[in-house]
Amino acid sequence: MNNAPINSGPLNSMGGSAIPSAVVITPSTGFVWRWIVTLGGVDVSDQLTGPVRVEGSEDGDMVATLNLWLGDDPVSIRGYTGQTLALDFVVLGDPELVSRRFTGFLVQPEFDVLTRILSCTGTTRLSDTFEAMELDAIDLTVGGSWSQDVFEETAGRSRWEYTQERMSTRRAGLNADRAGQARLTPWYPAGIAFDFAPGSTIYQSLDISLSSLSETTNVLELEIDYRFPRYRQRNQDYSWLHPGTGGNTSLTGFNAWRADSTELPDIQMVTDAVESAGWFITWNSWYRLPGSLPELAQPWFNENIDLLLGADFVAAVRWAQPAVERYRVRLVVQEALDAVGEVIVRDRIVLDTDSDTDRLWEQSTETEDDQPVESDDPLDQLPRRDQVRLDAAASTGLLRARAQLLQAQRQSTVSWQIPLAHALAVDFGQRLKLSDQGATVTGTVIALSEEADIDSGAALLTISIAVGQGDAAAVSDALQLPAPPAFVDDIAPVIESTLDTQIGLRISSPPYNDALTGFAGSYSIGNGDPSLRYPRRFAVPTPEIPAQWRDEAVAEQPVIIRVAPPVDVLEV
Amino acid sequence: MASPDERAGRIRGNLNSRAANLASNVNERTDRIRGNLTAREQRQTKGLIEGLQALAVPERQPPRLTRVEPRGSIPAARGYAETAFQPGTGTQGGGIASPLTEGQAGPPDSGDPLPAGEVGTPRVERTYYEFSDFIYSNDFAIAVVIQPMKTLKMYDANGGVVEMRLADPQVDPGA
Repeated sequence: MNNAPINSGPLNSMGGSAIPSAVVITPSTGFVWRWIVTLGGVDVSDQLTGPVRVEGSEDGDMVATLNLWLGDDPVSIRGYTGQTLALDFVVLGDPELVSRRFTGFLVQPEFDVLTRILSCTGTTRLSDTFEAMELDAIDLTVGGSWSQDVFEETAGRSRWEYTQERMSTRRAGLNADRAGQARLTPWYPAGIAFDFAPGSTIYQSLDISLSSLSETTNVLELEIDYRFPRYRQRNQDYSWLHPGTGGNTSLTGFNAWRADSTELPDIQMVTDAVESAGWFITWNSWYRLPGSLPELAQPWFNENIDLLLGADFVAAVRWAQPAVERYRVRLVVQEALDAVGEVIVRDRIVLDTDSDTDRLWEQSTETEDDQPVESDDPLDQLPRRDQVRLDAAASTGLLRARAQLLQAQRQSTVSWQIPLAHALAVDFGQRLKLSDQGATVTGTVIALSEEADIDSGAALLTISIAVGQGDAAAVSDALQLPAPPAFVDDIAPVIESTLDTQIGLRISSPPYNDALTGFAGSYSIGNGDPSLRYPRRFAVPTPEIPAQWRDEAVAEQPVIIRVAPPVDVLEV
Repeated sequence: MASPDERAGRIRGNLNSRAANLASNVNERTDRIRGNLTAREQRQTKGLIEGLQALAVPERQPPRLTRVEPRGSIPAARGYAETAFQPGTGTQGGGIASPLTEGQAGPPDSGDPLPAGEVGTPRVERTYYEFSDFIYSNDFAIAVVIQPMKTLKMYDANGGVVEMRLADPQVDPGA
């Protein structure tokens, strides 16, 4: 049992798809035992004195403590630290049963000069083991989920801390097995491994510790804020046509204009006018003055074909607007909430996007059509909303939140003692059932403490299990972010897209009106006061871009995710 | 008689050994206490230690987005471009100003147009078609060569060039 490699099977499967049937532990007779202590590869069992204790919990190292009498001969005590330490529990009989209880390293020997007793503490050194591992190997061993937006960058940081961060997203404990190897044990294994029948446990050893209300978190409010730049562009259509053309944009229009010709604007003027407002032209359809047409009945000579009789164009302005998507996730254990009211813990994840490159967009005038979608162009390299990044951070945050909530719901523990030889196979990550001492309890092993004293002859195992508080009818929702919230813009201010025309230098011409948009100019042959000549100009009004379109936009998306912890029995 | 230094050293030694004793006593005692604890008490100890740790380790500040200054609106604007004179027209526009004088105001040397209204000296500035016609007298004693005029360059009162391009009379327009 539990000698399969870590993570070789999905959680809760215990390495096999079939749910193992419970082994019933019945009252049993006494037994004779001894320890085999191997220190640095040498059997030192005969030096053992006093109790040997091996303790461990679901999270963390196994710890072994024992005392060795070193004898009266001179010894070098410096070399003990770091030696391998193995403890085997032997049940004598036929056949002899040898059970490995601890494999680790002697981390802190203490020598008492008077009694010549070496007190040894050995651990499985999980943190040292993980500290020495590559990140890839840790990922492979521990699994779970990790995001740089939730935790900190890994460079230069403790790998053990990184391991813990990954573990915080899992519903499992990280501990060492009896062979000293790191492994994961599930919080919620399927099936009951051992059933402790009436009379099997030590009388009056039952202890029940109910969780305190304040640590039984039943609501976890997780705030996820994601800020990214929205690259925005406002387009505005414009249309101008010289009234002398009679509305006709073919040669007929030109002839109509020619019959009573006037000054005309040119492309440069239109472009300059648009750019002087801070906008740029993204699309145009120029109605140019024709070039030389000597074959006409009245031959036409013209070299300035940038002059315009009409123009349809689209002008645009670009800006970057910071946008914040706020997800307000409320993970709830509904039954616990109904029973005791809210016990809330808050968590917060923030994703920001570098906005230093915003001006690249604001200063650009290329249209999408100019560029392939994915290119090395800086404009395509701009940081945009990244769903993958958000999903990674959100799923890490949600997994961590769920694990935190479920952990809080399994704070109640029940412990009891049993002669060690009767329950040698009990291990972390097993679900146990106790049907003794007037109690019926199920739960997952979270702590084991065994002590066998060769002086007194007692060999006892203390088992602690975590008892979940779920409700069989509870519903569990999918652990995922809802669809992103929508950003709502204020209504766009609208301007007139048709541009005006005013032609002067005739007696019939009204006074020059500066407020009119579009083109102003004069007739080629005038009959008015030359001093009242209109300026030859082109004016383009641009609409306002409201502050609401430019200031940081915030959209909120609340969601409630129900979490249903598995059900355990706790009847006394 | 011991010197003050020696005495201080002895006292310090005594203190040190007593402190060491005390420490080892405490260690022993905690070990003994720990051994005597029931599972429940051990759990409570664990909770106490965790509580102390939580006090000792400063809680991580919840992350925040940095504040972004509001950018404000882009006000409605009026793009404007003025170019006084249209390319292709005279420098002052408005057509041809009388009188027209042949080749008079030519700016060929200085490049500057004459001041408006000033009339320069007329100068021949014409070109002719190459193929010419002959007109003979009755006795063929006199032959007159006719070369049809091709272009005639005149200058208006403003110094603007007015070029006349005449058709070739030898080419039958009806053909």
